[in-house]
Amino acid sequence: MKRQSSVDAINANDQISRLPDEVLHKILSKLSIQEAVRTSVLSCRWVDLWKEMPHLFLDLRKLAKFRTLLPHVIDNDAVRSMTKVINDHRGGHLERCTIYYYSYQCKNRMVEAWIRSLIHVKHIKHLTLINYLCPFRPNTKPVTLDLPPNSFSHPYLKSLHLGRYHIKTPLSFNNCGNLMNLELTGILAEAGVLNAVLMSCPSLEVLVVVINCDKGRGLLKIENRNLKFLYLSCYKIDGIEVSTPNLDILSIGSLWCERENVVFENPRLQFHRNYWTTGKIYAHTSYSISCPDQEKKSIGHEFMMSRSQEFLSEFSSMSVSVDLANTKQVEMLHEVLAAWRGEMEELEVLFKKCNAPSAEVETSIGRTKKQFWEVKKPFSDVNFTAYTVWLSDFSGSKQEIAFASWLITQGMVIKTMLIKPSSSFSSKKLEIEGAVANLKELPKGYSELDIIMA
Amino acid sequence: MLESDMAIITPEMMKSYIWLETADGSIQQVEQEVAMFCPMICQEVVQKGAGSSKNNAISLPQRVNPAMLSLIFDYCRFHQVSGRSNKERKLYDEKFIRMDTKRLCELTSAADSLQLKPLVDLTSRALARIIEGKSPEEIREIFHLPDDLTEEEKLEPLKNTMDDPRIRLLNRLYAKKRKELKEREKLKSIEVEDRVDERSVDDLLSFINGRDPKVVKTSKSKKKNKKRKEHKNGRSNGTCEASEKDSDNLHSKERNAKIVDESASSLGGVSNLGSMEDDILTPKAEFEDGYIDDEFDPVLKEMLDREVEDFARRLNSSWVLSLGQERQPVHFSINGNGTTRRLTGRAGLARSS
Repeated sequence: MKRQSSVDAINANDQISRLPDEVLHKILSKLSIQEAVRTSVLSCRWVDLWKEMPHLFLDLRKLAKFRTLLPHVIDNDAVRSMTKVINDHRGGHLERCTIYYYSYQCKNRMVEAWIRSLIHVKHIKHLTLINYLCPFRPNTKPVTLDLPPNSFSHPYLKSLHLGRYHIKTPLSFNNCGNLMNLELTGILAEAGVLNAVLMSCPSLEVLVVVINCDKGRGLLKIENRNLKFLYLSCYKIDGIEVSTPNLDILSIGSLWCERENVVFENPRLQFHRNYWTTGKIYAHTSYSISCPDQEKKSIGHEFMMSRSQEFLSEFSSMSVSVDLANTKQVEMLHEVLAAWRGEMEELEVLFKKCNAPSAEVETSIGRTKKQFWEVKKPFSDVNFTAYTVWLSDFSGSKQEIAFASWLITQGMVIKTMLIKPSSSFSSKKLEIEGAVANLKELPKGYSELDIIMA
Repeated sequence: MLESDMAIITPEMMKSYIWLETADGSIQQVEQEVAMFCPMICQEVVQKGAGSSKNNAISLPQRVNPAMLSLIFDYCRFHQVSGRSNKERKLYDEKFIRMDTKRLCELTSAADSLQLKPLVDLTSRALARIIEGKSPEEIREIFHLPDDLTEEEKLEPLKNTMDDPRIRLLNRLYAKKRKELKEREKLKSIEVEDRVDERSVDDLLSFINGRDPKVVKTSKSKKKNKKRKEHKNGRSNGTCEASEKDSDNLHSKERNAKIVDESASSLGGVSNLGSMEDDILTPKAEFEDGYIDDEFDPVLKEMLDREVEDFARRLNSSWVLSLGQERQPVHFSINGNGTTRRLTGRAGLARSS
C-alpha cells in the first residue's frame, strides 16, 4: 500500500494523464490498434480510454502471421481480436471505422457480422472496408458478401467505402437515403445491379465508382440529383449516362466504352477539353468552381482536397472554370493548384463572367478586389507545372492578364499556352490580340514555351 | 484566412506587438504575426480587440506557462513564414520535438489550450512514438503513471466481459435466417426432383394446421428454456434440432418445407447437421460465452433492444419478400427485450455471487 503523500508526488509528475480526453485519443489514434488497446492496463485513467476513440483503424494485414501464408491454415487470432475490439468499444463515440484485411484472413461471415455490429449497434458514421489480395496467397476469387437487405440503411451511417468486392444483388443497399458518400472501388458488379444500388441512395453527394462490369455489361445510369462530386473509372461497360444537374466536379479515371455511348448532361461542366480530346490516356477532371454560399463550404471541393493524392495526380488533366473577379473562387482555385502533385498534363482554365456588375459581397474584413490581387499575389507560392495550358473564353480583363502572366513568368507552363478568345467579345478582338501580344513579350519561365492564340 | 487577415493589418501597423499575460501573472509581448498564428489569440484580438496594450493584455489559459509559451512562439515564428518548403518545415519539426517527455506533455497541454492544432498533432505523434513498442511497465515508468489497477482489471483485456448482447442477438438471428433460407433452397431443389406424394392438398393442409403448430410451440418454448438455463448456443440449438427431427420423421419432405415456413424459430428440415454445426461453431468461436456485463444505462438499453427487434422484423419481412418467396412472412417471435433482460439479470446475479 502506498502512502498518500508519495501517491500525490507521483501524480504530480504524471503530466500525460492530465491531458484532456481528445488529446489522448489523438495519441492513441497514432498507435496501432493493438498498442492502443494495450494502454488499458496502464492506469485507471487509461482503462477505458481506447474504448472511446472516435476512430477505429483495424489493419489485419499487419497481423498476418507468416505460417498462415501456407494454404489451408486459417488464422483465427487476428479475426478474434478484431472482433473483440469492435465489441468492447463503447459505440457511443465511435464515428469512423476503417478495416483493411487480406481476403484469406476472414471468413465472409465475420465481415458480415462486423458490418452488422458496426452499423446497427455501434452506429458509426463512416465505414471503410477493403479487402486486399495477399501477394503470397493468390486467392483470386472476389469476395462476395451475403448481406441482408437494408444492411447499409441506418440513419447514422453517412459514408461508406467498399473495396474489392463482388456485389451480386443491390438488396443490401435498399433504403439507403442516409448515405451521403459512397465509394465503390475495385468492385465487380453488373451494370444493372449498380444502377439499382445508386437508385437506392437518393441523397448521395459524393460518388466514387471504380468498377468492372464484366459480369454484366450494360448501361450505367447515374441520376442522383444531389451529387456534387463524381469519379468514374469503368471497365467493360457498354455505356454511361450521367444526368446530375448540381454536379460540381466530374472526374474520369478511365472509361472502357465508346465515346458515342457516353452521355453527360451537366450544363455547368461545358468545357472545350475533356477526357477524349486529351487522348483518353490521362485522367481528366472537370471542375466548375462555385461557392453559392460564402460561409458554407463546397462539399465536392472539400472532398477532392481531402483526397488530393488520389484525384489530383501526376500526369492527369483538368478543366476548371472560375470567375477571377470572385475572390473566394480564386482562393479555391489556388487550393486546387497548390495541391496538385507533380506535373499536370493539361490544364484548361475557363474564365467565367459574373454578370452582376461588381456587386461582390465584401468579406467581413472589408477586403477589396484590388488589394487581393496586388497585395496578396495569390498564386506566388504554388508549385505546380503543366505541360499545356488552355485559357478559354479569354476576354482580356485585368485579372485574366495577371493570371496568365503568372503562369508564364513563374514557369508554370512548360510547352504551350493556347488562348482562346471568348466568342461573345468579338468587339474587343483587337484588345485581346494586343493583350496576347503583350503576354508573348513577357520573360518566360520555360524558354521553349509557345503562346498561341487559338 | 489568417494570412489574408495579416495582409490587411501589416501595412498599417508595421511590426506591432501583442501583450499576453500568463496564469502566473507575468506579462510579455510578442510580434503580431507570430501571436496571430494561434487561433485562440487571434480570436481574442479580432473579436474583443484585446492585447493591444500592457493593461489590456490577453490572459492565457492556466495550462500555458512562460517557458512553454516561448517554445510555442518559436514554433509559430518559424511556421508563419509562408515561403518555406514542406521539407524545411518537417526538418524543423523533427528538431523541435526533441525534448524530454515531461516537457513534451506540458507543451501538448499548452498547445491544446491555445487551440494550435498543428502543434498538438506534432506533439501527439511524438508521444505516440514514445509509447510505441514499450511494455506497460516501461510506459508507466516513463510517464510516471500510477499503477492503480487491480490485478483483475489488468486481466480484463484478455477476457471478454463486455460482450455486447445486442450484437450476439443480431448475429444469432441472422445465422438462423440464413440457415432457413439454405434449407429452403435445398428443399426446393429436392422437391423439384421427386414430387411423389399423392395425398390431396386439403389433406396435407389439415394435417399441417392440425398438428404442427403444437409441435412447433413446444419446441420453441423448449428452446427458450434451454437458453435460459444453459446459455450455450450449441446445446440449445442441438436440442431444438433433436425435437424437430422427431417430428420430421413423421412427415414427408414437402411438409417439412411448410413447417419451416410457419414455425418461428425452428431449424428443422432434412438436417444438414454438418453445415449446422459449422454455423453453430462459428458464432461460438466468434464471441465467447462470458456473459453480459450489465453496465448499460437501462433507458439506453431499452432503446437499443427495440432497435434490435426492429432490425429483426425488417430482416424478416423484407428479406423473405424480396427473395420472391410467396410464403407468409415468418414471424420471429423472439422476445428480444425479454431474453436479453433475463440474461443480464442472470449475469448480474452471477457476478454478485
